[in-house]
Amino acid sequence: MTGSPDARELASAALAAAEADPANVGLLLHAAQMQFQAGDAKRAKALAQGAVSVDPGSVRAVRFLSGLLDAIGERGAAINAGRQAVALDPEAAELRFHLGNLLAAERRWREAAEHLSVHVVSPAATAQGWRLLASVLQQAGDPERATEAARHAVAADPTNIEYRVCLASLLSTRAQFDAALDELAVALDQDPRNALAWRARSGILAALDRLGEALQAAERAAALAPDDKDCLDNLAFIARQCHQPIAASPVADAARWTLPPRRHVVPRPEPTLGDAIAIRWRVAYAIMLRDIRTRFGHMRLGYLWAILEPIAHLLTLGTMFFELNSAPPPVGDNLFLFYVTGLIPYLMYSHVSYDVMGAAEANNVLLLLPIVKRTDVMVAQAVRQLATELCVGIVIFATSGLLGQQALPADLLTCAVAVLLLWVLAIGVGAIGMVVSDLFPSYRAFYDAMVRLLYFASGIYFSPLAMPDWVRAWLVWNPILQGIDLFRSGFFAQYEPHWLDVNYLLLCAIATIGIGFAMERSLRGKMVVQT
Amino acid sequence: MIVLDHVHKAYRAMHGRRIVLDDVSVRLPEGRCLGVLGANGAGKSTLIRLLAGTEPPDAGRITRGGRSVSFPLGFSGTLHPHLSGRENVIFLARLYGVNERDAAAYVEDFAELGSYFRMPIGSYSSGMRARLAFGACLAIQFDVYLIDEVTAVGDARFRVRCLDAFRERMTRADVIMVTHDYETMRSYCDTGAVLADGRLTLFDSLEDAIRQHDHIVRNNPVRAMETV
Repeated sequence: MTGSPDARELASAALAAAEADPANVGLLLHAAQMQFQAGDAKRAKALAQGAVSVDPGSVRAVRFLSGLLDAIGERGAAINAGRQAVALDPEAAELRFHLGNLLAAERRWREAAEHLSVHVVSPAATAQGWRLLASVLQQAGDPERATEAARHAVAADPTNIEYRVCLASLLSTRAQFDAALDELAVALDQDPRNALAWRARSGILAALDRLGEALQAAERAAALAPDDKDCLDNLAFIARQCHQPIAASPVADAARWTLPPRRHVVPRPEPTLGDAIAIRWRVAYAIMLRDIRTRFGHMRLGYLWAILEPIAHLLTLGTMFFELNSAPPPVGDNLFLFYVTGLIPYLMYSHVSYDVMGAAEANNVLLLLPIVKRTDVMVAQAVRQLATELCVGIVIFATSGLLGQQALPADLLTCAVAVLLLWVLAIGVGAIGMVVSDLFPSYRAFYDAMVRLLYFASGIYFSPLAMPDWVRAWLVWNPILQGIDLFRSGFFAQYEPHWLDVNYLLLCAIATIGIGFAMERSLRGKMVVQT
Repeated sequence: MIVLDHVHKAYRAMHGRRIVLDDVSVRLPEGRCLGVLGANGAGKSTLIRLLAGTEPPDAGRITRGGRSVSFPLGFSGTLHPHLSGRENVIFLARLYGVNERDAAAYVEDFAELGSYFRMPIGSYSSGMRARLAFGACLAIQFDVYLIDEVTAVGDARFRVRCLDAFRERMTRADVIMVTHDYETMRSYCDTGAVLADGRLTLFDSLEDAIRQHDHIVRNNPVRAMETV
């Protein structure tokens, strides 16, 4: 719409009126209308938006804005405004039709159908509404109800040729050719010069293999609308059909439309226990490698940090206590070795228990892969951490050997048993902690305090030998102290503490790991996996 | 064959509990591509997680007859941002016992990430990430592929590639897809089911399922507003 001088004059007059009374919705809308007619879409939009902001509850204003936005090509915004209008007055049939129209133009068939269906059941239903609903339903894949809607459209406006043609073509898509031809006959009765109806007729006749009549109808349509590309295409198509021999190889042609056969599924044998174990190990191994790659991924040295960090810890604390304490060591002839033989098993215990406890959190996203079980992550963490601490131990004791001190344990087997039992204990405590901290998040703080306390109650810096009897009587119930003393009794040939109770340690390890995994199993479903 | 045996599942929503499956016993068809329709909030994604086994049912059992079930196709949530695309693929291949080199080569070719394939995922756009995840899932031969509402991956050309790769895969594997889009369902599936009000109803004909779902959506004003 270009602005004639007249329209521009009217527009500026309306604008002046609206500016004089900016709270008047009616004037604002009128001005917007005039501006739009004068060709100033931008100002029209601003005015309409102004009207809506003056009275957001005005259905008229919102509806006008939606129509205007659609007219200037902003369909997304138009839909939003239309939806706003529908929310303000859900009963209004016109609003539903308008919104359905916009949605259909965006090919959002389902939503369009929802609004149009409200429109058509209201008393103010229009033939246009039914007609649009028919198209929408057809596009949404419901030809049956589409036909029904088209029938309603024809009933509401029996003189509209286009509605009848629509009904006829819907009927023909459902193979009701006779009914379709009847409808077209009525349409052509009303308007014998309607090209659209003739074209539809030719299509249906062609589908019925009445090619001679189809060609006549197509020629008629093309003659009535010589500029209509669709009519000309249709004529060309029907003409080709007439010349073509009928389906030279019907089988090959039909194959294009047949569905692939249903596959026959061969049942798989149930996996054996060996397979199951192999799969679990494969999964844990993959997780382990991924952890090693990512844990210190942002640092240059990568996973080497996991080994360097405890070594630094050991060296600092060991040296510090070594310097501060001039008394002879309780066992062996080197105070530093005494500390280290306590610290390494203790750090192993604490790292493993923490990592297993955090298994669910740290690798939570992995649990979204169906093949990964929580227990796989726990095993991966425990094995990785054990391997890491073994490296730490080897480095430390090798250094000790290089410095001319004792490097190899006197009894390797006892040391291995001690490490193994402490490791199992750590996994068990970690598993329990994982479940409990999921139920009561404050458990973590409790466990932190516990680990700090145990750091001093596990005989790392002193031997229970030096304790008063009653203190020792309490301390020996600490399974970690038992583990550390078992390790030392293996490392130092002359260390044979009388309070050592390997059976007690074994019991603790087995009990915690049993309880831990039982808890994990029974509460598996309760634990949340965040997406 | 995936069999649901008296399965009950509910989840906590804003207003009370939402029941996804209420004592459902059903055998999912084999050798088929099943499309499950459900309105928003009916529990489509929960159903996928139940079938995958990443979430256990509240009661009842789901058995899979030893068939390997995929992670939801195109799901990129498990990719590690510090690892490169290649390393992520290798992790998944290792996890599922697939030849690592073959998988990496397949995805490199499929996802068309160029030099990005060897760069950390953190530097990817979401489209690139989805392409990688899509390729990684296709690189592993599953018996059943699960799809949770995936159509918007990449540009039109990539979608066509996906469709082709997918059709090829479907000659050997089953597909279970949840969606509320009829067109997607029509182009992939040959059997339909409807998830609504705690029931999972199987239909032999796709169009019957679509009609049923349409009926449900239309006649439930609350749900109809949600899907708008």
